Amino acid sequence: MNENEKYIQDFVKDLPFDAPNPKHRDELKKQLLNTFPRHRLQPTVQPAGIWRTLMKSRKTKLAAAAVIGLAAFLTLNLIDTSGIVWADVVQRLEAIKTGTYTITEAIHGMPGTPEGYVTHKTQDVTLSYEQNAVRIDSSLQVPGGTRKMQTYILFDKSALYTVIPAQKKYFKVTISDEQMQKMSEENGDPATILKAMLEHDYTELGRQRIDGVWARGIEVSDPKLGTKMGASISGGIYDETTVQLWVDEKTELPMRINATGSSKDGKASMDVVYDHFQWDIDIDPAQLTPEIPDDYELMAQGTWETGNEGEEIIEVLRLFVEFADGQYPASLKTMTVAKAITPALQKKFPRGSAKPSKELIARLMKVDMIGTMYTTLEKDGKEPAYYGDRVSAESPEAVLFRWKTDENTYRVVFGDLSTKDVTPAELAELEAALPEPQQD
Amino acid sequence: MPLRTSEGDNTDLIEKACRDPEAFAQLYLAHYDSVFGYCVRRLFDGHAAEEVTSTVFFKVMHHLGSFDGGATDFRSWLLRIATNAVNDYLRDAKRRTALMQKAVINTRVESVFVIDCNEERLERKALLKEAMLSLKPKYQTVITLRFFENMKLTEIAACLGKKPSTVRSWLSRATAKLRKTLDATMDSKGSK
Repeated sequence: MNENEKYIQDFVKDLPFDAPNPKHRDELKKQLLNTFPRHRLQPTVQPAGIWRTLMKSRKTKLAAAAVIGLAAFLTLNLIDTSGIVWADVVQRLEAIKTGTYTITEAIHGMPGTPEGYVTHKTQDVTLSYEQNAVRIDSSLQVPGGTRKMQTYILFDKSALYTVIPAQKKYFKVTISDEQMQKMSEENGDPATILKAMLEHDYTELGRQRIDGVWARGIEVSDPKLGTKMGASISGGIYDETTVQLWVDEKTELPMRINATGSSKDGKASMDVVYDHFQWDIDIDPAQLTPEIPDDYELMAQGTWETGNEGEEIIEVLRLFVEFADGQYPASLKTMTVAKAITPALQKKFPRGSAKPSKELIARLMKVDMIGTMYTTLEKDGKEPAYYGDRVSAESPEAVLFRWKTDENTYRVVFGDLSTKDVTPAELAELEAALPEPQQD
Repeated sequence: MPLRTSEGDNTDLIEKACRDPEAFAQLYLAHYDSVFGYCVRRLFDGHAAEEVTSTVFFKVMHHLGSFDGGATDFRSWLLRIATNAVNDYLRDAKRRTALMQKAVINTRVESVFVIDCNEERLERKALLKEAMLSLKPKYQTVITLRFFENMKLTEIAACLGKKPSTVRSWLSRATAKLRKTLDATMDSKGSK
């Protein structure tokens, strides 16, 4: 020890510091235990393979969507050079035939729930590429109880069913051939998430031990991850999205996906963990075939087509004219739109009143897809822009929404939802006249 | 109150704490005082130390599964998380300034109200606060680990993931700067 060190040692000797406060210690303990990761409470299932699928994504329940990751991993990680060749992992994923996994979600600000309420959702997913079908058994905790439903996506039949046994009800969506093709290219592949992540600027997270298994991970923060990843893991649901994908170092197949999503205003967010992956297991074909009893009521039947996103978005915006006095949502992120329309609908259809018509329910189902539709326009180079943060139905001459329909034409949707095709120069003039965004 | 985790500490508890909230609570209670002690010696403010201690344990809870060492390593692991959390906290320049101002005020309050406390120690603590918080976080870190946590150079190096030679160099610069600052402050206050 040199002189300076001796000096400091003497200087700091016996200095008085604050003692720990038992009250803080106890409060922090409570907070920690209240948020102890639920997915860890179950024993780890050794992955036999990996994959994941977002097929369900684009069309499933809006609220179900979203994702999340915990960037704090970075601070703890002893980042080193990854031994994983990610392209090889994609190949491995593409060879997977069947699989199951669990999605655990904590959703803050779910439309229709009290302020501050955290909705917990678990989804057991069963997927078969051989049978070309997916089944998702969901359990959703809402104020007053738990809702269980099953969703089936039957790619060969171009159909999606959502069945609610407790209510003896179901929904059906027919998916157009074009959309089906798009899904099979973008969402139907178990390598989709990883491929999409690798197309972004991803960060290597290095090596980490997860549930007793050495894993290597990558992370992407980009709300545009969306369209290729499906509703559950991002696309158009939230303003901010971070996804981490961890691969078992031995099997070189994914073993954990963490995702986080949040809205700009901080009112809605979601934490999601995908785990308990099992690969290439035997799956009874009957598991992937919906058996809907005759006495179940078909609540709504819709279609899902592609290439018509702009018009579909207008249809969703029309709900705000009919039910929300023409006050449009601030953005076209799914959660923002859903949260904005929910109070108006609750007012219009209070408990005990006549239920919404099937036609209205079918229109409401499109809210689930609005974020994805918008990001599809972006991805397809149609240059969409939306100004719901400053334009209402009271501004019939102001641009509310627009997208490009061909090389020199934009379709403009005005505050009163009337439309007009304009040139780029005309559009510039119209947008120059837009009011400033309203402050919250 | 340095962070201590003896060889006798049960590494099983750490493993169990990954999955079992009760075990995690036990682990938390065993280390709360130590983590808080480290934070308060870095930040010189009880409330700030509580805030950072909270951050540390949330990180520990979420990342305990990634810990892959024995009981002794756990100490280094905790200290590394705590160090990063404190440095993140101090990285905010406004916070740092506020902390320095608060540190001075707090010490004056202590001097007025804590009758039993040795005035000379309080004065020394006040001087140390100002001098320490004026150092770069990495220098603060090595000084705290060395003189409050009583860690050896090699232990500090392992904890920070640096070479011992780097830590030696940091420590040498840190102690020289700290001494110089302390001397200058004491000279200006005529208290040396």
